[in-house]
Parts: sequence; C-alpha cells; structure tokens
Amino acid sequence: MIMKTDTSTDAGAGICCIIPPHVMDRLAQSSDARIRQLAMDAIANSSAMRAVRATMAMMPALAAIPSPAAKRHRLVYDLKNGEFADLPGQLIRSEGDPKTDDIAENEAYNYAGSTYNFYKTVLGRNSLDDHGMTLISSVHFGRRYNNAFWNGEQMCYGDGDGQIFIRFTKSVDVVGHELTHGVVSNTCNLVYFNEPGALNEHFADVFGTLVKQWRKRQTAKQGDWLIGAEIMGPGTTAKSLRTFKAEKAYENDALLGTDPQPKNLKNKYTGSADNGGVHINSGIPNHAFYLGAMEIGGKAWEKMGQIWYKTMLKLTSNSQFKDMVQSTTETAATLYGNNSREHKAVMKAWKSVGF
Amino acid sequence: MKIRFRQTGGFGGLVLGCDLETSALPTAEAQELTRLIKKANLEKIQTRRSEKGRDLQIYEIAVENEITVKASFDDMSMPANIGPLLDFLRQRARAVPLDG
Repeated sequence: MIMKTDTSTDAGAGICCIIPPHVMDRLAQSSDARIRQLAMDAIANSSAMRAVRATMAMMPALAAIPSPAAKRHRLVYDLKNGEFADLPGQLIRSEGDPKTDDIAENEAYNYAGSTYNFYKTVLGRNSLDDHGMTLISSVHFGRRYNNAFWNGEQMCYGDGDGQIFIRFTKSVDVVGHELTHGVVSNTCNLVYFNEPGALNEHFADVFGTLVKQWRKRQTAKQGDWLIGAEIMGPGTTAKSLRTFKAEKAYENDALLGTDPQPKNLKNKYTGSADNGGVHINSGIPNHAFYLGAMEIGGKAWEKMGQIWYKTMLKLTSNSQFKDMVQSTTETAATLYGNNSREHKAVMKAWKSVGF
Repeated sequence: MKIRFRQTGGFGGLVLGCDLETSALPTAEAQELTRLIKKANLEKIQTRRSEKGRDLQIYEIAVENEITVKASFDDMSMPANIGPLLDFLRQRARAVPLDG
C-alpha cells in the first residue's frame, strides 16, 4: 500500500513519501504532536483511504480516524475564515497542549473534552466510534458563518454574524450536539430525512443537553432544557434556538420569526423543507424526553439518558417514531422493571406527545 | 421572472427566504439577478445532498420564467458557480413561515 500526500505544515515541511502502513501507524502514535499529525494527515488523505471512504458512506465506523492510544484525543484546527476546501485548517491544539489566546479554539477543545468525558463516564463509550476515535474540531469556519455542522468526519464551527448568532463554540450543548451526530453515525446511523432524520436530530439535542446538565451537575428540574442559549446574538429576542419545554424558543422575532417545532404528533410537519423537517419534528421526541426526565426526577442522565443511549444502539437506519416509542418503552422495562416508575414515566411521556 | 428562495436546516433549523420578481426590482438589481441566475446553471443541479453531513444549511431556489426551474442543494453539495447568486438571495432573505 502506497501512502502519498502533499500535506504541508506551516513550517513548509510536507510529507511526500512512500511509507509502509505499519510504520505510518507507529508515526501516528508518536509523542511528537507534529509527526503524529503529519502521519494522521497522510493516512487520512491517502488515495487509498479516499477510495475506501467513497464506498463506506454508509459505514462510518470503518472510516474513523484513530487516536494514537485509543483514548481521549482532541485536535483543534483554525480555518482562519477558510471553508470546505480548506478543511481541517491549521492545527492549533492537540491533546494535552496548553490553552491558546483564542476563545473559540479553547471552547472547542474544552467542550469536546466534556462530551468525551460524558460518554466515557456516564455511558461507558470510548469516543464516537467506541474505539477512541480522534475528535477533530475546526473553528472560524467562513466569514460571519451562522452555523455549526458535522461533515461526517469532524465538527466545524462558524463565528456567527454578530447579530443573530455569535460564535457557535460558546454553548457546550452545541458541541455535544455535533459530536453526538458522530455517535449516531457510528451506531444506528439514522438516515437524515423525515422521521429517522428527526430522531437523529433528537438524539443530538438530548445528549447535547445532557452533557451540559452533567457538566453543571444539575438535576432535571435545575436544567434550562434550552439548546444554543449562549450563542444567540444581540439582534434577536430569542432565548435559544430550541427548547425541550412546552414553549417557543422565539416568537414573532424580527430576524427569526417563530420557533417552528411542534410538541405533539398531531402537529407534525409533513412538508419537504429541512430534509422533511429533521430540525422541526425533533421537537416532538425532545418534549417527550423532557417530560419523562421531569417525571422520574433526579439527574436526567442517570436513567433517561441510559434508556435513550441503549435505544440508540438498538435502532436501525430507517427507524421511525413508533420504533423509538417501542424501543425506549421496552428498554425502560428491561433496565428498571416492568411497571417500574421509569417504565411508566416513559410511557406517560410518549402518550403526552400524542403516541 | 419570479424567484423563490428558501434556506432551511443548519444547526438552528431556521426558516429563511425571499420571493422576488425582477419586474418589481430596480433595473440594475434585476439585471444583476438575471445575470447570476444564468451563470448558476440551475437546470443542471436539480437536487443534491451530502450523504454524510449533518446540520448543513439547505437551499431551494425556484425560478419561474417561461418554464420553472428548481434546484436544491446543501452547503457541502453546492456547486461553486452558484455562490454569487446564493449571496444575492441570502442578503434579501428574512424569516418566513414554514412552506410559506
């Protein structure tokens, strides 16, 4: 196998060589961050890997970039306003490196760490692929870019336009949300369309908010159950982008309009926008999760989080809302007993949102 | 010529858009929009989606003239030549009702 790449660094020293894969693997575990990164870039950029990736779009677990020691391993890159063709950008901070002077770089690093720690400590999962996959973040995507996204391999964060949004790294739940898309891709891999897509978004919101509550050691009652509260800019009256509660995150806002998320199945969006409403209809299971967590009480990650995580592992790529209802209900009974408080709380929550 | 633009998805799931008619725009603006539409080759795009991306912004553009041409794509599947048209439309986009 030939590894060849023209990847270059800020020092101008690029790799353009033929290296056996076992040597490349050793280099990827080097204690020298620069060598480690060059090796991983070479692995990631090799033509062979690209060919494999092209055929593995539906098998993301096999395309993960491994971490050197199969444990927490974060890499933060700065795109310096670059976009897709410039990804991942310039490597700024590797695992264990000291903080930088850039707040977005440090937030991306710290909150990726919080998310890794949550999954490892609470759910026993070793990174997105459960094999220590490297968590790659690129900050300062584009100019005034009003978004954060998962591109199938890494997180990308815009700085916001300063009016609707400010930097997307500021909310830990945003970071937890994006990383959870990586977990979903490596587990049930829900297709990003209609109800399966809404469930994909739902899991991302649930574990994003659980990371935040876990980090703050909040009970369900203490949590704000808001998504993206910290990234809202001064030009909007929105309290957040989404809310798990029976309320609107924004209403008649001059820039944003009105929060479109339904809280009951009878109001499900059936149009084609947003890939069939993946960010819209996630409001229905989101509200059910909130109701269940409030009914059970205590810390939401301790019981509801466990039920939902086990369900994520059971679902398949085309699972629908009814499959989610059935699987969470069965999982609650399995984990805590038939007719247990938890089992009843989950059933009651789904019934409250129209199932 | 009528142009309908919608931007949905993204992390925020915001629903933004604008509806324009070249006859109602100032001449220079209408000419610029017509030029950008021609350059964008919308008829060749149809529907494009990135398979792996999540929380990407999704764009839908419909141009109604003698015939109606529709194109839909996301941030990662966006053709390079459509950038200027997208910038033009995004500058005029406001919050709109869902499917409105």
